[in-house]
Amino acid sequence: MNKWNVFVNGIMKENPVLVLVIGLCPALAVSGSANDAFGMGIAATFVLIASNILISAVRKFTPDQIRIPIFIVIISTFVTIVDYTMHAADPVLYANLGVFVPLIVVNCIILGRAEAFAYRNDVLSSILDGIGMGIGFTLTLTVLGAVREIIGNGTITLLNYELLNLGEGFKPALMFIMPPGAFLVLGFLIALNRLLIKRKG
Amino acid sequence: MSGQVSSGRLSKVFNIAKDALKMGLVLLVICVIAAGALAQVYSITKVIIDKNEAEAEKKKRRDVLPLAARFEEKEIDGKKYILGYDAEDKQVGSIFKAAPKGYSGPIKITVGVAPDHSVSAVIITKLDQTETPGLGTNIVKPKFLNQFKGKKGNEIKLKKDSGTIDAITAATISSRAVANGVKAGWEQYINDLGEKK
Repeated sequence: MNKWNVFVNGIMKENPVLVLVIGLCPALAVSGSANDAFGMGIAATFVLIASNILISAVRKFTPDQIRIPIFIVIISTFVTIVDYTMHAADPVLYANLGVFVPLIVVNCIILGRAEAFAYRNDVLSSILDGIGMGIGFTLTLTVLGAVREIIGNGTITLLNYELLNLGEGFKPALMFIMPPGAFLVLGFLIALNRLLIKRKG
Repeated sequence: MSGQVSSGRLSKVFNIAKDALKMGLVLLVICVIAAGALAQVYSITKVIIDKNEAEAEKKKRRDVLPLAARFEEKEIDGKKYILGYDAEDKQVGSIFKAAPKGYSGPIKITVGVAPDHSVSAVIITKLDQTETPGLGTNIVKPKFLNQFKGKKGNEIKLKKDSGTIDAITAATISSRAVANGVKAGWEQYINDLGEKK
C-alpha cells in the first residue's frame, strides 16, 4: 500500500467511526457541542499518533506474547500526559470532557491501530496512519458535534469561539444534544459517507 | 538414554525461564521510561493547574464582592466565611459557599451577602457543576443567577415552591438544588453572623 493511500484511508474509505464503527463511546458521549467534540478528536489524535510511533519503533524488541500489555502501557502513558496537559491548558474543556479523557486508553481506535497497523509497519507509515485516522475521527466528531449543537442549542462553538448563534428567537430541539440525538445524527452521517464513497466509485 | 531425556527437559525449562526473564525485562524497561516521562509532565503541569485554580477562586471572590479590596477568612463552627473589606477597612459583605446535590453531582455555589444581609450575588462557573449539557448547565447563566440579587429568606425559593425564583425550563431539579442550597447557606450565615451588626 503506498504512503498516500495509508494517509487518506482513515478519512473516508476506512473512517474509524463511520465505516469501521469503532470508537463510538466518545463519539456519542462528547459530541454535544462542536467545541468538546473537536477537543476530544485532537486529544485522541495526539495519543494515536504518539503511540503509533512508539509501538512501531519498539516492535522489533517486543516479545509477541506480551505485546498487548506493552501497547497498553505506552497508550496509557500518552493518555495521562494529555490528561495533565489539558487540565493545565484548558480547564473548561477538561471539565466538559470529564471521564472521557482518561477513557481514551480504552478507545478501540487506538489499540486497534496499534495491533492492526503500527505493530506490523515502519514508523513513517505508522505516523501517516495515525494522522489519517486521527483526522477522520476528529472530522467526524466535529461535524457530529456541530450538527447536534446547531439544532439542539442554536449555536456552533469551536476553539471556545462562538462561530454562529441563531439567537433567542430560535427554539432548539433539545433532543439533539441528548443521547438520542447522537445516534440519529450519526446514522445520517454514516449514510452520507456511504453515498460519497459510492459516487466516487 | 534417560540422561538425554532429562537434559532435554532441562534445556526446555531453561528456555522458558530465559523467555520469561526477557519478557519481564522488556516490560520493566518500558514501564520505567513511562513512569519517568509521567513524573516529568506531572511536575510541570501541577504548577500550572494549581495556579489556574487559585486564580479562578480569586476571580470568583472579586466577581461576588466587586467593592472589596481585601478578603479575610473566618471560620465559625467549622463553616468557612470570607469577609470582604474595602480600602477604608469597612466591611462591604461576606461570601459563603454551598455545594448542594444537583441532578448529577454537587453544584459548587459561591454566594455574596451584602451588609444588609440580602444576597448580593450568586456565582456558579462551568467548572463548578456537572449538570446535563444544554439543560441543567443553564444554571451558570446570569439570567438565572441574577434573580437571587437582593433576596432574603423565603424569597430564595423557586416559584413552584412559593418563592420568587423562576426555574429554568426543563431543569427544575438543578434550579431547585441551587435555590435550596443558597437558602440553606444563607440561613446558616444568618445564624452565624447575622445578629451582631
